[in-house]
Amino acid sequence: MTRFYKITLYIVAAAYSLLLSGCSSESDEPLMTDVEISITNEVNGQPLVLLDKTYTNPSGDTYVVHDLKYFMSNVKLINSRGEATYIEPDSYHLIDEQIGKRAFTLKNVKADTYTKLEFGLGVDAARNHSTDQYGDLDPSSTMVWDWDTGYKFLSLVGTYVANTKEGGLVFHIGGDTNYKTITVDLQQPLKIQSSSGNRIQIVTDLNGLFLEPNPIDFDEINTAMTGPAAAKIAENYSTGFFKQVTAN
Amino acid sequence: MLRSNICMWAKLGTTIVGIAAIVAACERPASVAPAPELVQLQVPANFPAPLPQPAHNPATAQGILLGKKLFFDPALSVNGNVSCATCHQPQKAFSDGQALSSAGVSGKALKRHAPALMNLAWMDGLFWDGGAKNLESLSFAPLRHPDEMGQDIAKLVARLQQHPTYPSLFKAAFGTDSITAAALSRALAQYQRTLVSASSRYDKHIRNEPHKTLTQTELQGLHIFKKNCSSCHATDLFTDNRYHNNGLDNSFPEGDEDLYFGYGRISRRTEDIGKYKTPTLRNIALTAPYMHDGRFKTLEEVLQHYSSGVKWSASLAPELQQHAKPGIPLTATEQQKLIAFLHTLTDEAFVKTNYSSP
Repeated sequence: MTRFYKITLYIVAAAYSLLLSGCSSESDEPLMTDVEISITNEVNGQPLVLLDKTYTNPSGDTYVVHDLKYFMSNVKLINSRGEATYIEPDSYHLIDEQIGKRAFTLKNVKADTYTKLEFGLGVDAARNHSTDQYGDLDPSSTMVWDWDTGYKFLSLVGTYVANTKEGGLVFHIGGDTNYKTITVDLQQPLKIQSSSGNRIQIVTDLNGLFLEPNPIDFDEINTAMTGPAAAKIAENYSTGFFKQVTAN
Repeated sequence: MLRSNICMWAKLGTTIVGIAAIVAACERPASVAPAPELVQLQVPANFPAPLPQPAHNPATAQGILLGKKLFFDPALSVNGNVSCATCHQPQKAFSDGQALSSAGVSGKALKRHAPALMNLAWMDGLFWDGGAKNLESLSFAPLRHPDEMGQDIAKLVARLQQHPTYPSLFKAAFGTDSITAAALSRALAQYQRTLVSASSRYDKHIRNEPHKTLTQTELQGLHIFKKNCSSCHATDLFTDNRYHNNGLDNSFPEGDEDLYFGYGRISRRTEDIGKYKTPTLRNIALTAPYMHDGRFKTLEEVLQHYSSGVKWSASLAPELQQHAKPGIPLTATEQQKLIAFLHTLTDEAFVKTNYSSP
């Protein structure tokens, strides 16, 4: 009887203590914090201005940008030991110049020293084959194809003047093969020591879409969706679009 | 020994209680809304297995009811005059009787014929060119197209959110009265999967149901059908759900977003240019005119095409190249018998059951 009583008491006490500690972080647990990712889309070192500025691509053609949007997804932080110790769940972020949406927040990042950022440009095949989605994948955006189910991974719309042609510039890049996983080194490591001020700043260069490994001449390529032209631009964004990634 | 055993059990017990306590403490409070009732698709005995239903959108009684209401509601269109049922009319087996409808909000003619809707739970690749991968993704196309319902999806969702009854219907179906575009399309998909047509005279014949024999002419028509047509209009779905060039045209102009490439604009393969999805022949007597552009007004015209009008091009279906000239030679009598058989695929019960809006 006494023994039974003791055991019961032990169970209740243990359960109570577990209950108290189970859902909240205690001081001996590692620090978990937010990391803000912000993006500046640039052309030749200057922040992108829609409509009012004329730019020159590496082939010497001029262009004006009406809108730029793209998806960054499956964001991971890789620590100094090369381990992807932070994997953002349900990770799909629409970067949208038209409405100035150029940042997102990674939640519950463990304190560590991170040296690389990994993400996908586009929407992975797991989500690209059905457009009844939520959040940034909500189909009410213009980043959805209704006639050929899927998402536009990157949309660059504007006008161009090339050597022999001029007109509308429409790059709607999509299709599973154009989903690219991109890993970039942080220029200095992100050392998370406190719960505020953890930021990663990404700078892109729009002309990187038109340079390497596939120079894009607007006389030849001024519209693209999923075919060979789109594949060329997708190869370019996997290497030359995200220019500089810094942390503080 | 006994004591250590008891201690071990006590520790185990503690762990279990502890885990249970944590789980209980971390869970959100249970929703007060009753869970939607799952509905199992009834598979007719003579049908193949349906496609796996999407795990993220299981059919429920409440979801189907909501989907039906949405399907028949002209408030879904930008001008409040066009519902899904405007071009997919139940009495015509969810087709519209028009070659190229101009019933959309702009009044402009569409570029493809409105397909009849039935047995969609068995069909992958929707639209004539297979561009819509599933029903959950499909609805945004007609909702948004400027010549169909012309909606801005975000505005439509906001409008439904202000509606006196929709928020509670969405809550019953999906557990929240916060309406999303995804839930709207999922409800429409659930309803459309219920449109199963399998009660024609042919079905009763093939399932050996009593008192429903086919006439001699109809049986002869069935024989002609099996021999000449069933490689593409396959199984008791009367479609192989694949894409074929049936010789309607021999040139496929570029432009218009490659619309005239048919399946070729989706697969992006040259060999698929000019192919279209095999339509089901169920309820075919109710769904004139025929083909992806509605060019043939009658079944007689269709059979004349197969008999003597098939045009050769590189992607022409091999099934239509088995004779001296392209096509399937059929005598006038054979054509009449075939048409008699095709009429046995009319499913009056299907049409009547779905006739009225909720």
